[in-house]
Amino acid sequence: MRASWRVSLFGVIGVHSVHASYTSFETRRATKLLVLLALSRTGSLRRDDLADLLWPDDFLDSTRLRLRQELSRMKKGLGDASDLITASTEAVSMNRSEVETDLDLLAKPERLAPAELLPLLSEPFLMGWDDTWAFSERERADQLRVQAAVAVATQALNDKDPQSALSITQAAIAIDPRHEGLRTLAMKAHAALGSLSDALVEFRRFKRQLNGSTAVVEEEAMAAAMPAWIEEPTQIELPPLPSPIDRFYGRDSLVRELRDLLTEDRGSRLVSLVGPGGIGKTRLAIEVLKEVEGQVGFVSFVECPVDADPAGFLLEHFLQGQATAEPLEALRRHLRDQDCILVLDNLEHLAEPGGFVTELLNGLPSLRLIVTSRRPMKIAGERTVSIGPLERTQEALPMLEELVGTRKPSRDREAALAEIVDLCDGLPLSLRLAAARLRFLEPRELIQELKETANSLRADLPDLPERHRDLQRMLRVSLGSLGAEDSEALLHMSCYPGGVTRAIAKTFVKGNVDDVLERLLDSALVWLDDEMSPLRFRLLEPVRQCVQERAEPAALEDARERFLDQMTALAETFVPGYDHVHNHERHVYRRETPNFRAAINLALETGRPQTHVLFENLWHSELSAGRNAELIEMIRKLEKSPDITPLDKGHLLLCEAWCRSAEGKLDETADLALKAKHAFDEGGDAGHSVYALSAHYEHLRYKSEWPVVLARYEEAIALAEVAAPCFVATLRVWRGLVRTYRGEWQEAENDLEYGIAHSDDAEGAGLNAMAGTALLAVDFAYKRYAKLQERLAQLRPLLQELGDAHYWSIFQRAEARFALVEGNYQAAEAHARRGLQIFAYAGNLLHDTEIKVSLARALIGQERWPEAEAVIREMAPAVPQKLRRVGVMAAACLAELRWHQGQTDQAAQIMARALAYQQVHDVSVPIMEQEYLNSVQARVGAVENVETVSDDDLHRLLLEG
Amino acid sequence: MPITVLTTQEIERLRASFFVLIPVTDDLAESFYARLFEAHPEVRPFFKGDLQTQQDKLIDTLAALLDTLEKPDVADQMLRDLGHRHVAYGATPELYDWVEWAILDMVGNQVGPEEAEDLTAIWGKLLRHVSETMLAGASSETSP
Repeated sequence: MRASWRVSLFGVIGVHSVHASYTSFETRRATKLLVLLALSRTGSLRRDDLADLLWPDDFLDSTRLRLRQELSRMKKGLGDASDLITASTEAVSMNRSEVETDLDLLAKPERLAPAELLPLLSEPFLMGWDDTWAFSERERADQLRVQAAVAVATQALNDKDPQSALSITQAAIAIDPRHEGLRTLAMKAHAALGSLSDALVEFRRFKRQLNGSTAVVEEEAMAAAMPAWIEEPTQIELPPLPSPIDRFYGRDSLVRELRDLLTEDRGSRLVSLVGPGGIGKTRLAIEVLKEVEGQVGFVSFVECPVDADPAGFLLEHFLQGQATAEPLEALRRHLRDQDCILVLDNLEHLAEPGGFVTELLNGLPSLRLIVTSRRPMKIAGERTVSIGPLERTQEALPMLEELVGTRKPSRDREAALAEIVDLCDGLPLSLRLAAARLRFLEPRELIQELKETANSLRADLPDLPERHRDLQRMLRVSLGSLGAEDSEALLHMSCYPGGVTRAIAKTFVKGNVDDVLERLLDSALVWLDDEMSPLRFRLLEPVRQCVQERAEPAALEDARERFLDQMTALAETFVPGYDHVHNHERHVYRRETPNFRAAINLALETGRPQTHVLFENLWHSELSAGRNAELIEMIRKLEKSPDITPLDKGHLLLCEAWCRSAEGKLDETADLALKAKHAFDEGGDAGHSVYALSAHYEHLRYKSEWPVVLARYEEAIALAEVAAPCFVATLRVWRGLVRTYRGEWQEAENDLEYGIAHSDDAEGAGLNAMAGTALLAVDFAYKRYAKLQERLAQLRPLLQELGDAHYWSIFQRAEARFALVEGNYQAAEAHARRGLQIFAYAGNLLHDTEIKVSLARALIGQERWPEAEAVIREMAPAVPQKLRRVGVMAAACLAELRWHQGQTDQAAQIMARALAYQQVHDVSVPIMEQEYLNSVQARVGAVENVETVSDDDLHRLLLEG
Repeated sequence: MPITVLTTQEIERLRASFFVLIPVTDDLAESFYARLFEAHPEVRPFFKGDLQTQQDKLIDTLAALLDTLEKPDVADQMLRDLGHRHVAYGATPELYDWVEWAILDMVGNQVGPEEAEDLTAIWGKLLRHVSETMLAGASSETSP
């Protein structure tokens, strides 16, 4: 008995019954989804597998949403047959007891009449799909087709129906011309029809096929049949590749990735670079072409004009002026067998670029295309590469600095340029326009303008296309093409500078959230930030500003109000407290940081109460991002709010304490932390009270008052065991850290291992990272080098995942120290510089000065005296801040430097002062560093006895050398 | 002698035997011409050009003949034309005898011993008719 529905995979793909036929599924992916289910043996596929098959290049998280959407489209297209599909959270299934496919029919040829088989032999299988999965399915289908043809043709001959046998075998021979059984059956059919001559001809064709001579025959036949209008055209010299004047910034790894994608055997024939105007698609495509030039027959760059005729603009490029009635055919003829890679730029200018690209690629098997467009082509085999903004510190900031040119560097100027980069959101075009404006404006003036209106970014730069010279005009064009539903959603999204998850989008999108998000992604006004999980849909900053500027005031106010409600509700789901800062929540904090920040500012602006709950969710991540100044400014406003509670006050004080700590103001830190403790006590929050108390002891640790700090930690641990057990692990790690300074390796290891074992109950991955980094010193002391390497390898991915500047800094500092002990000065310098980069970002003076010790030593080791001296001088400000440990080390570095420079007397004097300073102020240094002090002392020889050295003395010594 | 001397069953057997020979026709034709030139070196100059083409022509002609056996008028006309053309190639009556023998030998070698005698007898009847009709065509003054 046959099933009631049949899926046609040959010819037009669809689902059919006696009464109905469904062949339209809105998108190619929805159609592919149907095909994949039909092709699966059981009719059931796991969602993850389906997503992987549909979007092989995308991250799984990004595809789940899309899969749901395509599933919905497919079911919609299936009409009455939609019940055939069921979906669970894990899998999607097709009810195969009710459905059979063309392939099922082929697998049972005894049920097939010749008339039923013939269309299956002549119609294309999985029409329009040319990618790898379709290729392998096509091979399987062809095998089934040939087997069925042999069976049905044999039966037809037995039934004295040679004509059917002949039709079937001829159709099947077109599929497999080398199949001997088919040829024999065809010959038999000819003979049975009374023509031995035709049987003979059939045999000769087969023989030629086996000898491989058919290609020649077909070529000749083709040439003979060639119409006059496709005579070989005159070869035209192609225009050279564009040569932009300015340098290409960043994206090096992406260029290499795209090169490999286009040139590898199993690579892609169509790569679409998708992104909003000004993101740098064209420039990237040119760089990729330069990279592949020489590896293929030829490369060429073709710009698609506005409202272009699809094949016409290409024809003009290749065959200037040689107009023909059939441009696409002429192009195919011209490019046939040419191993080439073309860039088709700005393909969004075509009405239906997908169809054109499909036709072009189908007819030219050796052609590979890079297309740039604001929207993907959405065709099979396409590798869509979404171009995001430039990375902030490694790409965008250097680009802006280079474009602006060299001026006297200053911290303020650097900070201002970094802020401009943030306002431009790493959009290369915005950066270029901003650089042009900076010829006339001071950075702070431009920042003011940019904050007031996105309109500022407009400049007459002749090397840019006209449409790129005014950012807002460019954006207006894109915004104008949106429907009302999408515009409204975009306005709501614009209130979230950190982007929204799908769950949040659902709260404000009217209609189908997935459809709206998909359309907005296609418009390239929204981009998918797939570095975060769950994925976030985000507007680039210039787009965000432009959307808000164009909005109706009432609509904008409403959107902002809903944003505040949403963020407050979100904040309330996290109960603030140290025991809740788990890895997962740490990620949530970080993801939502820009949104919480915007919400607080908006709440303060509008006088809305309950702002503290937002702040409590914000300050940890802001602190690790080095936004101390902004935090202090926010604290000053928040402490004036009338609804402030003791707990709110405790958080504000604690936050301020950490801000001051990062600035190296240890006494102030200690005072503030103690006040915070009292506030938490008043509010009845024992956990935070212990936390604040520990913060109060922080200054002792940095002042190297280790016996005192250890005693305090003992008390705090005892307190925490009663009042806040979840905090014990953190405190023990801190204590372990101090013990490593003192060389109490066994005790240190106990504390640190305890921290790792109990990290899940406390700070999670953060604590794990801190304890792991400290254990490196223990491994080193015990000479467990294999263990040390293993630990480093485990820590790197953990820290990358955490993405926290604080923990990264500790790790880099540790790596630099080990490299120094091993005498690998280049590696030490690399780690120290990387660490400094992070510290600069986090703005933490303590870490900054500590790592400079490693950098100075690394430079001395490489005999780079002037650079080393400059770094030592930069450490001097640590001394007045009572960071005496750093002061001693810096002085030792200076002594070593002078000794290397041959100034041995001076070296001995400096070292004498360093040691006297250490003795007078009872400065302990970590044992590994003490070994360095000892080695310098031994090297510079006996030193004079110096009675006393004050902070001022040492400060002056470091500054004056 | 009209070709209708062959019965329907005999025609079927001839066709079936040729069908079996199709895969080896190239070898057969090659062997046929080798033996012809060995026995009658004087005819070699008449075969100009590519010998493969000549071999294909021989097999094509046999296939065409077998395809038209049930249409004697068509077959005979074709044979008479062929005979007329062969005058120019220097074909003599003795040569026809030799060809007849060589083809029978070729067929006989390709079929099993149990049917060789029977089948060569039928092929013999056909080939005699072919020779006579071609010679008739050869003796006519003009091409019909």
